[in-house]
Amino acid sequence: MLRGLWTAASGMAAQQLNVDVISHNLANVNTTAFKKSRSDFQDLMYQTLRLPGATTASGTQLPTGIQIGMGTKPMGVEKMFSQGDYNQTSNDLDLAVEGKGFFKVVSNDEEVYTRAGDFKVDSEGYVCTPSGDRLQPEITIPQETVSISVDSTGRLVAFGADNTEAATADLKLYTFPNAAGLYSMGRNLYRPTEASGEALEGTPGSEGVGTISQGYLEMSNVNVVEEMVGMIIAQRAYEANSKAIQTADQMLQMANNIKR
Amino acid sequence: MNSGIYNAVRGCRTQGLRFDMIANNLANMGTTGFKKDMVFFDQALRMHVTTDLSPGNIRRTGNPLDVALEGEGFFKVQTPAGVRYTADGRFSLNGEGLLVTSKGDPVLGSSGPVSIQGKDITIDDTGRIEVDESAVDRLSIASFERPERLQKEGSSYYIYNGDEEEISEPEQTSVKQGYIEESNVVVTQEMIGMVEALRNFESYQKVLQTFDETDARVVNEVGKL
Repeated sequence: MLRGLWTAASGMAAQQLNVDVISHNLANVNTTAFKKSRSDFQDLMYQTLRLPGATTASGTQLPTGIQIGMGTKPMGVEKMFSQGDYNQTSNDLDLAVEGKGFFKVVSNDEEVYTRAGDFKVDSEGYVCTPSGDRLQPEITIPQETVSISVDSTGRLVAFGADNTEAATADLKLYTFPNAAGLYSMGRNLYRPTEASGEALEGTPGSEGVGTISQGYLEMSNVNVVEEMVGMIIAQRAYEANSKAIQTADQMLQMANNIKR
Repeated sequence: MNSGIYNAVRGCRTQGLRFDMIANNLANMGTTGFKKDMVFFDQALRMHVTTDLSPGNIRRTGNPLDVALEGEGFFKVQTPAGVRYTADGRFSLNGEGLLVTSKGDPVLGSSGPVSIQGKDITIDDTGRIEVDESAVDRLSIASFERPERLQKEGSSYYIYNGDEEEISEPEQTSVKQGYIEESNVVVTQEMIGMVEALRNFESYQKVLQTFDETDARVVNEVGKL
């Protein structure tokens, strides 16, 4: 009976993790290009008390056995890289990726990737993220620039006064064989891992990489209604498992009361 | 001593096992593709556990690598220990572009592991996989002549203990891309089962107490002159 007690505890722990993940999604409902996570569960090992097909003392074969499961375990928290909605900002350096590509930036001397295209210009004229990580390949915007245009293929042109071209550059996008395998570093940054595979460089607009939209930001792909429903289900599942623990407790109490 | 006391002890233990099983069903309410276990007793009051292989609800996720089976059948997976079967269709790609389960084992198509090199993945009703509009493979789906020989292994995997000839491709089953199959646990049923197990346990406990009292009288009162 104590087995069931621990089984129910594993169910409660799993639902707790589920609520943690949902809370993180809800907290980031307004984070630029945030990608929601989903917790995946699997059943734990089974204890076989009697094998199917065992023979009884009277020589008959039993068609079914007895296997008791030991509960559930979290198998992974997976990022869902579905497209977020777009938000028009009309800001020259707000770039949204329509497709699967990532921007590459250098953060603490490390090449990392991001979907958030809310770029700024730092004091030396380099295009960077709000936390100051420079976009790769590095692009400088000359001081005399009046306006910047970026077309869907990533061609960046900085215009000076009288519509003269002050600088041009080409933006690159990067894709991964398995984006869900990326390591989330926080601050909207992702680091490649063995599971994600190597980053593949591509020109925006080419096959599968996606295009760039200037003046738009990609919003978070969290759907509040979905998360709320998930939270209700998680809470009720947690409750059901706590009832199982109470029942186990009552049964143990009764067992103790056999001897008065 | 009265031999009935052993029957009551057995009853207590059986209800305990039944409770363990219900607790496992409840713990796996949120496990994709989980199939609940059920208990029944034969005429000799032996306990049997069977897995209810009926399909769970199908829920839309919109993720192109989430696949659910509508109808009977299981996906085939190549694990280091051999071929296993699963109803959990939350697949992903690994670094080499192989279609894998959430545990990382390759999913089998009609010609071995499925390799996907491309961006746009569509899977149609028959399980045919197209990547960037060219056919790659077909998901291999298995149904069993004697499903009672399926044995749970944990991690949502099943092993089939029957013969190879008993495995076939189901005809009625359709493959749904962007959906997952939820567990088929029904909370009300489990709760009722739990109350039943608890109260039956209580009855056996009373029986044991009664035997104890009877024995006490036999020893202390009948023998009195």
